[in-house]
Order: sequence, then structure tokens, then C-alpha cells
Amino acid sequence: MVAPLGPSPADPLLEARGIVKAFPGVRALKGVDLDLAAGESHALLGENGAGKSTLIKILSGVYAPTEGSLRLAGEEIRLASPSEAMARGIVTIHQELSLARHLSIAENVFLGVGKPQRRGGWIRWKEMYEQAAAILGRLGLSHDPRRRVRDLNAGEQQLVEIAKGLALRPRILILDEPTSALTAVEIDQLFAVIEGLRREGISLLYVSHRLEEIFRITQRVTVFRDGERVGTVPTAELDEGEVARMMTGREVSLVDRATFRADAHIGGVLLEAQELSDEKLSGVSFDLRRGEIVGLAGLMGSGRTEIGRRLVGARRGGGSLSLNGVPFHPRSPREALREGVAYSTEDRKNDGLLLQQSVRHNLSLSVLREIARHGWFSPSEERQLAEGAVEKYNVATSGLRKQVRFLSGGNQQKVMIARALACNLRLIILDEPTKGVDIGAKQEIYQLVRTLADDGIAVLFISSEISEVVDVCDRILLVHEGRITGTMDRAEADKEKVLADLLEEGGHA
Amino acid sequence: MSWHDVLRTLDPRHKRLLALGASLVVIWVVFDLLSGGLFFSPRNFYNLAVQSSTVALLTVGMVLVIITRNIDLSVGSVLGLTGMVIAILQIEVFPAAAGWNWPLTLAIGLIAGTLIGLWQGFLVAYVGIPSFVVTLAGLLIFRGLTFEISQGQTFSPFQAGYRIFGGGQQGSLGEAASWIVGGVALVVLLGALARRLRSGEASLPFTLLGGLFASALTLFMIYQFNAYDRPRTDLGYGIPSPLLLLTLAATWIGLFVNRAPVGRHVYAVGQNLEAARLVGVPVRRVVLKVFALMGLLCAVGAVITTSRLNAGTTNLGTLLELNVIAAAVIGGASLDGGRGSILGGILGAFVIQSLDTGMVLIGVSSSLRQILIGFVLIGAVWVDRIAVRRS
Repeated sequence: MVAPLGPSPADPLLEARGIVKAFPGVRALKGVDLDLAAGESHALLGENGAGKSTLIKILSGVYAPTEGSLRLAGEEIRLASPSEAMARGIVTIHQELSLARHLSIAENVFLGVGKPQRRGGWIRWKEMYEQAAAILGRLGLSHDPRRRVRDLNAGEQQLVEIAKGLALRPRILILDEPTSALTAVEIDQLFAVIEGLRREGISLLYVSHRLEEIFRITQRVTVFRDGERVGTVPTAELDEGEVARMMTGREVSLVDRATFRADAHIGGVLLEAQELSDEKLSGVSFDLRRGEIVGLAGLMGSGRTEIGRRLVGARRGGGSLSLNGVPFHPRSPREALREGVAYSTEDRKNDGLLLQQSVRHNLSLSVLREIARHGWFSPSEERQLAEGAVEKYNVATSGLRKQVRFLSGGNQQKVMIARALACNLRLIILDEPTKGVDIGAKQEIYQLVRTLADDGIAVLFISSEISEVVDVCDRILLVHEGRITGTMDRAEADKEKVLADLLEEGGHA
Repeated sequence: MSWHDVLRTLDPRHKRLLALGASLVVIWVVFDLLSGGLFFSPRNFYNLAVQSSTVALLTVGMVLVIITRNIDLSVGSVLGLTGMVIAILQIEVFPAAAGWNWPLTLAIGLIAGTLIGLWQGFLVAYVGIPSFVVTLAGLLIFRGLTFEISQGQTFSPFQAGYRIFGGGQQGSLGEAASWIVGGVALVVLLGALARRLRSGEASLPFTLLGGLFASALTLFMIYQFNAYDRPRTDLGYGIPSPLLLLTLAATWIGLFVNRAPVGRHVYAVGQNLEAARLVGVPVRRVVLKVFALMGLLCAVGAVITTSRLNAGTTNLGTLLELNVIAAAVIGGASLDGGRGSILGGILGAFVIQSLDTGMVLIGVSSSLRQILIGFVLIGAVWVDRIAVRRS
């Protein structure tokens, strides 16, 4: 076992102390520390929901911390906005590209706050193209900066995103999964750039799931778990198994793995998917059985969500589906719901809930037509239905009229699941049902999943949190780059093994 | 509990309704003072009610359109076209003496309006053309068609039976019936308020203030309508038929919004289209239905307007869309979608129309009236933005 807290540099450039970030009902960060030395490349590791992205958002001025302090070069700072963070030299390159696709490379590079080319309000195009070309050169890109960004491939776009960050002359560069869209050659290029930047004295905070990369380019690793720092260790003292243990190890297991599915009765095949393919998927085949909990484990962007959406007709593509042996080709989630197949999204805020509507209205949304007679529903029946759901699924709310946005993540999740279950279901697809949810609610959701399976419902449990997939599921499908790359039964599944498999696949990319 | 605390406990939607009601009273009183009592003269008040009813009727539809995050710029043109269709059929095509003439042309007009709505809804929901574009095109197309089919002519007069829809001599309830209808409406309204209070949807202060306002308004309006005497008699006109049509339509649609799945779906689609789709809301059909209803309401508006003017003219409904959209927005419909209320829209229509009428009475020029109503619109949304940011 490594020392929980490794050596910290005597004179850190950036120092975060006791950072707490509380959202309604959830403490995403529970008092974490982080040191970043000048010219250091530092990895931030953790499972989804461990608090990595929350910390990044605090460091980049998106969120204000609930408690705790930030010091930059010994001076206490408050970051009220992303532009303030940038002005202080803390530049974040987010995983999702934020490029203006119809503008040129140069225009994108100077889209941020650094606009040295402006004089009297006029853009000096020639100068701008020269400076852009110089920055691209640092990244090993020889493209004409006049080219439109939309004509570049994904990897090149990612590099332009990084060039955009460099134009801001960062002291600290935070890279969030920068290689997820890059090819091996581009990754090598990027790593050379990172090494060069580090030599120039720029500090890097590097977030990635790919351990191989972390071993290649970082000096220290900080691991987060459940909003707390597990440890900070020199990279040289670690091996992959050690890291996996630090990421997944839990003092208290949320389910008793030995008994959780002991009395499971798994029935016949309910749904069969054959050769599903579209832009994100290729040749995905699997089956789901009645009363079975099947885990779909994969990293972000692996295609797990796309598989779930295909099953309810929220995505189109090739391949075939059958339900109970009958061809099943829903053209919309509504048609899927009629056959008893429901999908509960991973993104509660964007495509899950009506945040500004009441708990009651959200709960009844999918069944209003069912409880209506001659086109009218009875408000009292709706209220009873909502009251029943709140009680049955233990939704903590001060009332049915409370707007859903004021509920905690766990309770929002319960509302979503309860809403799906208000219909008569044969299969429920739960996409990241425990994302941003506290431990208590997690436990309840696991128990609920078990109850559903016991009732004969098939559950497709999509998650990037390996430990819960291993604990909860009867069978695990590993997804990588739109393919199913492996299957594990409950008996043979094991956290480190699943994680190692997924990381290994990631390393090949 | 102080006045301030009471206000704070109110639901924002209820607060807006009360604020709209209060501004209406203020506008009325101020204009009555400025015009030396002209505003509250029975004749002016009666005409105000008739004119506001048409705007309010279309606003009810517009509120729903806006809730689904769409807009309809064509309402004035659709009203103009359906009105012209009715006028030509009734006056030129079908025999003037036939008893079936006006009911048939009325039905054809309503169907035409609905079909136009379905067409525009189809383009928005199923083809995916932004509603701004579809209805801007509609504004041109349907106005152009109105000129084409009429060759620029005005058609008059309508059959006597048809004229019951426009208020005035033939289209008013009379004194006794007005008191009865008003009484029934008030009982229904207070009953609905009481139910909301019992189920906890409305707070006590809102119920009391809202009930008081609604009762006072209803009684005052009927008193005024009855005080407006028919020429050379002392028999009052009573409630004008357009107001009655508005009340019936708004009640019916309001019921739909609160008690039919499609009503909830309208809000769901506007607030989060993708979420609605994923839980099985037929999102495209909802938008189609809303546009169809908007078309139908335009046709009803056409019936009221042509009946009142006793003529079909080419400029019927011109620029009406502006007042209707303004009324919806003042009434609390959010152009971001997902938010808006029918009652708010109706009050908004009365506010706009009262401002306009009041300014005419005190001799404000039409250009100045436009400027002021423009500022009122910005002011209403400004206040709304502040409220949204605070919450």
C-alpha cells in the first residue's frame, strides 16, 4: 500500500485546500486538497462521479466552491468566472469541443480573450494568421490557418482546441480527456507538445481514463473517489493494479455481493439485438433475459448510450431487434413504450426531466394518456398516482408541487425511474442511474433494480462505474468504440478485471 | 403578516395574474380621469369589450403556440382570408335568401381556418421548417390570397342570422339574460378557485384577491353592458356575443390544458422537447394540434370581425398578429417555451386593447400610440426577466 498522501512540493504554483462543493442534496466534493508545482504534469484520476469534473469546474471558474480556498503562487484567489480564471493563466481544455465550425483555424485560435492582433478595433489578419501558424507549429500542425475548422478531422480539431488554449498564454493548463478523439500518431504529437510546455514551466493537470498515458506523461497522480482524495502519489511508484484499487476500493460495499442476486430467477430471452450498427456502433449483438440485470460497461463515448437508445427507437440504424421472438422496430420511444420498453436517460437535466415543472407533472408525464378516459384525465387520479410513486420509491420532496429542479440528484433520478415504471414494463434501460447521486440513494437504486428483476423485468444497466456494474449485474457486456468486446458472468466478474479490460482496450486506441 | 410577506408567499404565476389585473384597473381609472369620464361611458366600455374579445381569443391560441416554443406571425392574414372566404360564399356564391346559407358558410370558414392551421403545423412539426419562416410566409401567402379571391372588393351585407356573432344590436344578450349568465359564470369561477384552494394549488391570499377581483370585474362589466341602451329605448344591450364566445372558448381550452394529456404535453414539448420525446410524448402531433387550434381560433375571430363590421374587406386583421403576440407576452408567455397561461394571455389582450382605446379617447396620435405600446411590451418582458433571474 502506498502512503495515502505523498510528498507535496515545497512551493506549489496552485494550491487547493479543503475544497467542498455542495449541490442540493449532494456533496460532490467533501474537502479535497490538490497541489500543482510549476512545470509539473499531474494526473487526476477517478471514476465517474468521483468529483474530478467538479474540481476542474472550480479551478476554471465555472463553479464557486462552497468552502475551501485556492492559492495561485501563494496569493489567495477567487475565480468568479471562466474569463477570470483565464486572465490568471488557468486555462481549461474541455473534453467537448467548443469550436466555431464555420470559422477559420486562426479565428478559432483567437476566439478567447487574447486578441493581440486588434488595433483600433480592426483585425490585422496577416498578423493573426502568422501568430496562429506559430502556435500551430508548436503543436506540430502545418495547416494553413485560413482553413475552416469544419474541414478538419476530429483529431485536428482537438489540436486546434488546444491551440486555442495556448493562445491564452497559460501558466496552468487543464486537459480533460484530451486524447479521446486522437489517433496514436496525434497522441504522440500531443505528448511531445505537453512535454515541451512543461519544460517551459507550464503546469499541467491531466484528466484521463487511459492509465498508459498517465504513466507516460505525468509525474504525480491524485486519485479521487466519492468526492474525496484517496491519495497523491508519484507516478513512478504506481502500477496499474494499484491505481485500479485506489479508484474502486470502497471501505463499505454498497451491496452484499454474495447474496444480492443469490435467489435470482432468470427467465427466457426477452430481447435479442443482432448486428446493430450506425455511425457510433458496429455489429452489436446481444440478448437480454426476463428477470436479468445486464450491465453495459464502457467509458464515456464508447457507444453504451447509443446502444440503449437504439433499443427504444431514439436512434436509427442497421441491424435487427426482436422482442419475445417477434421483430421489434420501434420508430420512436413512444412505440417502444407501447411494447413495454422504456429508456431512462443519463442526462437528467438535458433530456430527462422537466426541471421547472412539479414532481407530480413529471411523474405522470408518460402515463397521462393511459389514465385518461375519453381524452380527459382526472386530477385526483393523477395526484394519487404521484403520491403512490413518491411513497413507493421514497422520493424525498416537500410536496408534489415542488419543482423538480430543487430536488437532489438522487431524488431526481428516482423520479425518472418511477416515471418509467408507471407504465407496464418488460424492459427498462437505465443509463447511468447513479450519476451524481449520493451513496444512500445509490443503495436504494440498486435495491430497486433488484426488485424489478425479481418481478421478471429485464434491466439493462448502463454505467461507467465499474464497481457497481460488478456488484449489481448478472452479466456484464464490455463496450468499447461501438463494439461489444467482451462478456463476463457474475461469477467471474471482478472490478479490477473489468477495469483492466476496459483500460487495456482504451490503450490500444 | 405584512403586505410584503403576503406578496412573497405568492406563486409567481399567481403574482403575475394579480399584477395584470391590478394594472388593468389602474389603466382604466387613469384613462377615465384623463378623458373626463369618457372611458367608463357604457358605449366605450362595450366597444372595448368587443374589440378585446377578438384579440384575446387569438391570444389564447398564441399562448399555446408560444409555449411549444413556436410563433405564429400569420394570424392576421389567416383571419383575413377565412373572413373573406365566408363573405364571398355567403354574399356572392350561395343564395342570399337560403336559411342554410350562413350556417354552412360559417362551418366552411371554421374548417378552412383549421386546414390552414394543419398545413402550417405540418410544415413546422413534420417537415421541420422553423415556425417563424412558415408563418412569415403564411402572412404573405394568405393576405395575397385574400386579395386574389376578392379582386380587392369589399363584400356586404351578411345574412341577418350571421350577425349575432359580432355583438351590437343583434349580438347582445339583453339585461336579464346577462345577469343570469354573469351569475353562472361567477359561480363557476369562484367554485374553481375554491377547489384550487382546497387542493392546495392556490394560496389563501391569491384566492381572496383573485376572487374579489373576478367578482368585481364581472359585476361591473355586466352593469356597464346593461347601462348601454339600445337606440331609442331604455333596454340595455347586455353581454356582447364576442365576449361570450371568448369565455366559452377559453374555458374549453383551459380545461384541455389542465385535464387532457395533450395540454400537459404542450408544456412538456416547450420545456424540454428531447425529454418529452424520450418518455413517449408524441411531440410532433402536439405541435400539429396546437397550430390547428390556432387556425380554428383565427376563423372564429374572422366570424366575429366580419359579423361586427357586416362586411368582408381585404384588410381584415392586418397587423393583428402584433397585438396578439404582444398580449401573449405581456400575459406571461415565455418565448423560450414551456411557460405561459391562458388567463394571463386574456388579461394581456385586455391590457393592450385598453391602452390603445384609452389613448384614442384622449387624442393620442396613432404614431405615438405605437411607440408607447412598444415600450409597454419591452417593459413587461423586462420585469419578467428580472423576476426569472431572481427565482
